[in-house]
Amino acid sequence: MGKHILEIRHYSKIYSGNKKAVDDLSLTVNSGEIHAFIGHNGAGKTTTIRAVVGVMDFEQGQILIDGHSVKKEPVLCKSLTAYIPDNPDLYEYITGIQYLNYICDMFLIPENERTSTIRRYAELFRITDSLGDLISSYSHGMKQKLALIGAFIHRPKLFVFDEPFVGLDPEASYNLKKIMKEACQHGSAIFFSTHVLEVAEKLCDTVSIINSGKLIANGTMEEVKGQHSLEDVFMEVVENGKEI
Amino acid sequence: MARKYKLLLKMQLYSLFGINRLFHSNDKKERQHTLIIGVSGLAIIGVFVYLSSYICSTFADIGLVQAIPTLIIVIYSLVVLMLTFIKSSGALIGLKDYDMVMSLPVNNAAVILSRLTMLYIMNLLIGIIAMIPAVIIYGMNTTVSAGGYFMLMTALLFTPVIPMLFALAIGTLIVAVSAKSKHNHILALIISIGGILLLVYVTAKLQTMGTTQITDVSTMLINYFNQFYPPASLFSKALQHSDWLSFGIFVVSSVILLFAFVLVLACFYKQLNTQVSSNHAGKDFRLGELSISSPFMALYKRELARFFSCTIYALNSCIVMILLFVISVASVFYMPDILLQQLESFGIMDKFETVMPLVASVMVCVCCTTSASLSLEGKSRWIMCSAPVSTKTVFNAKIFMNLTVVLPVLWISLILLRIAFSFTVIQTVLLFVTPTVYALFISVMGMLLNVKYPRYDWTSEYYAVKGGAVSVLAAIGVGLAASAVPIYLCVFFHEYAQQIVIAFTVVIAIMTAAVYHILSKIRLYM
Repeated sequence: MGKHILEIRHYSKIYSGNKKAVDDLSLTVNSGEIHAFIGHNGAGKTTTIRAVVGVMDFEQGQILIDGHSVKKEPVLCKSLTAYIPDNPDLYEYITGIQYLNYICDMFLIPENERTSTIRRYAELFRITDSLGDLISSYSHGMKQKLALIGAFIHRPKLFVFDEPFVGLDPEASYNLKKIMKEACQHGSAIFFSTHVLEVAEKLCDTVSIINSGKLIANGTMEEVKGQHSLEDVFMEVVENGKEI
Repeated sequence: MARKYKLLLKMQLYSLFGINRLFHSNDKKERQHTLIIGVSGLAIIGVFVYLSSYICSTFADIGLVQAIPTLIIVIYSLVVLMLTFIKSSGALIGLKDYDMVMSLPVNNAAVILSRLTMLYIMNLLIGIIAMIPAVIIYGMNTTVSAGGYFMLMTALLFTPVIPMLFALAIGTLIVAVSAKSKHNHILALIISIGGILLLVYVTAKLQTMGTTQITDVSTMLINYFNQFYPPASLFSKALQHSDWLSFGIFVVSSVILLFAFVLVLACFYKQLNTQVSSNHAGKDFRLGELSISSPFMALYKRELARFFSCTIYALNSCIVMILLFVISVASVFYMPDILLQQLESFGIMDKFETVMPLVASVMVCVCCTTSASLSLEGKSRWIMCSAPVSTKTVFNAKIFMNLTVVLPVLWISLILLRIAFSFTVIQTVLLFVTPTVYALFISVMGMLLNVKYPRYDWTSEYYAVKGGAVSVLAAIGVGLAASAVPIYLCVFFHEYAQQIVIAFTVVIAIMTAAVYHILSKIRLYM
């Protein structure tokens, strides 16, 4: 088992009006693991993800990234993390290359690395030609590709993606899976939410299922699904509230 | 078509002045926000009412009562022209919800007409409130028949149509022509600044003229408008001579132009939108060496890009500084000796020079990019919030952006003022120190107010910068209070004017440090 890259301990989030969006959630994601975080709409996935990446405050529990507390050392934790929200709204008034250079500056990527890394990913996602254009002219898929390049260029220890495959063409989806695996081979960990259970089943090493804010299944893909498909297991645990 | 037009308009009306949000939100903050906007809106209406009454009273006093109807039409038309032009970008072409609206089973004309109606309602509300006092003053100073009142009130309903269509036509043309240019915002900014400076120049010229000259110029302007803006002439003629034919032509021409505009635009609506949405398809980009910056500089450069990408933001923030610069240049090169002699003879030259740092500070306090800079992050704020930089660094970049806009122009202007007037050593020191301290103060105060009252859910940048942005209004209020109060104190206690300026400079410097300390403790979340 690799080192814990992400540790969530007894995390709860209560919105105003006492609505408990997430209730006592604990899980870990280790170095080299791709972890699928699944649940129906409104289950608490995005609430958890936003707390992990430090863009939403929380009162209960602890979240550690590579052993550092998101609450106590937010900047350090963010420097170890790459995040892409479910609908990546990018700065529409700058060009693609300006955005990527901005991300490189933020994550202190050395000058000699940035051009080659950007070139590699831009060619992989076939958007090199459009990097000089304003982001406002990009399609949803192109914005998603640009956000993905922005995530991969700084080689973080933890990738946190909210529905990363939405809007991607088949070739880009294939390449994303490839570079996700590659990043994990280099010791990173990936924690992502998805509604496409077939992708999760084929791609992920570990999985957790959240239902109405509570973690109801967590473990390796084999432990959670056994002989069944992930879809069957998901339907059963969500419908019957059974815990695994 | 009528039913669908009504449905489209209903959807538009939901967004009008945030009324729907007020009714359906359980959030206390949301209600407070709407209340503050409401109060600010009433204050602005009050200013309009005062200005309108003041101008018309002046016209009545100098015996130009008959010119008031033309004046009403001209001022109302200019206000509509300006307001519509500001909103024209994205009002008809390049709608944010274009795909959604156009995928509905509605025709182009219904979409265009619903958007036009929305703009018309807003212009009408503002215009009627501002112009009713003018109508009353006209009625009080001359005999107006029932038919005349009918004409006046009907005219208020139809007056906004032509200037609105004109502003939209120009706006649409600019969008169509500049859609492919990356520098269209800078171009729009330069044109807007030029226009405003011209307006200020004309106003200043009028203020330096005697009553006889004003009468002459006013008569000349009225004649000019009557000659080159036929609706004004028609309406003026109709009212003064009870000429119902002219009045009919005035009303009918507005309606005909409206329908002609809708019909013509409906024919090219899809083509124009396609052109706007399919721009920037350059395929010649080559990836070369990239410049490297520190996180602070990267944030700062992005702030600069944001500043120049949004005309309304840039215009709002820098226009007063440009005015200060123009006044300073004028002081050096065109300061009339007679004005200087008068200041000397009244014995107020010394006070004038003592208070000058505070006058410059008032202008500095009106320029504040920080009060909208956080709101402008909008839906993209996840990038700022998840970036590995401290909140303090983010704030510093935004504060530095404001200082970049203010300080260079301020210091050049102050050097010019120093040349134009004779200051003592202490006055010279204060001339530079006081406005600089105020610039720092308004930068951090604007930042704090935007942290307290951010508005991320805007659909157009206009609503983050103007359109009732609480932080922007509050920053202007705080800035004016902090800089105008000492001016009044200097007037009332003129023997202590210098001490008052020094005391306020010190107090504001301490407040700046305190606000910055508060800012450095804040953490940003989405």
